[in-house]
Amino acid sequence: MSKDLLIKRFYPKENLSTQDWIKPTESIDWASVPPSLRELSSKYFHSKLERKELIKTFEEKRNYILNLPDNWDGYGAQPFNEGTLNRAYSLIENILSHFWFIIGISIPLIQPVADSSIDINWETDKFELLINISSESNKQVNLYGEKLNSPEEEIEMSIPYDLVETVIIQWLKKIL
Amino acid sequence: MAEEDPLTWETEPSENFLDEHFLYRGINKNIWKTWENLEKIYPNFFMKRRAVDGLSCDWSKYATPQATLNHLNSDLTEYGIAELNVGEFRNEINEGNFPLTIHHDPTRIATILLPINRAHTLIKGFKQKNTATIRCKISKIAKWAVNMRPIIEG
Repeated sequence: MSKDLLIKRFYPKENLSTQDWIKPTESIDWASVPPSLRELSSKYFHSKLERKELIKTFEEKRNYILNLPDNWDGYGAQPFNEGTLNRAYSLIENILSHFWFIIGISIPLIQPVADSSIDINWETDKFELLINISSESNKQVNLYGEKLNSPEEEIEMSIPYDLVETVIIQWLKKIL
Repeated sequence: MAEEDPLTWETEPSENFLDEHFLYRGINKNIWKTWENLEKIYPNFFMKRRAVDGLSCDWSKYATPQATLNHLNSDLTEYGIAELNVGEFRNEINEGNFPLTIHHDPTRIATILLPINRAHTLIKGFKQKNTATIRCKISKIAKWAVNMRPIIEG
């Protein structure tokens, strides 16, 4: 974990004075960050602006997807249930919160799928990652990811929802 | 020339799908509106409500992209028509060791959802556990058929 990472933005830590702000564009050695700091809950590092952006984006998608009528794809697709969207949002928020502080990861596309599942889709210049959240909460999450031009870094699995966050965070830390 | 009776149409074997053929599928506005742009096809195009029964598409031996659009009783403001080259599709299936197979399934009697259609074909082999990888890979070889990219209104 001695990878140099770049802090791209100027984020205030909540409830601290401006002297505690992290300086922008400062290159840090990830290994030099104490484990206790690495593992701190992301809520201390969330940029309010970016969290607001995520909530706004998600609310737009949520309204759009929940309002899709019967046969919305022209091939018999059925409407969505709110629980599927809530599980998708929770997962996105938890994943993003681990990375915004350090690398400024983008908000993924949130897309409806005709079997009433939701695709969480990142397509960046470094990696592609598709996480499919089933409409049935007891079904496993199916995911596929690849680091561009590095086929050995492929990830492909079906796992319980509760494990997805940890698996994805580990994979992203490895490839980014 | 007298029209052929649909009830006489044969179901053709998969080897009749040649590498130079195409499979066409309509993509509804409710799907493509969620895409960042229309330059590429995104993975959520390649699924249906009960995909385990097979994903419907039209075979270019008996259809054109326009015929596929006509079967949907719609126009390019509602649907775009995506095409998959059969040869590239088979390569992806082989490389990824995907359990997908192509089955000719002519619709000889019209139903509420499907009109009479000699080109109707099913892609089978989807399971809940394999769709993310398959859809990612297949979306990369899918293209809009010529002049069949959807039209954004307004």
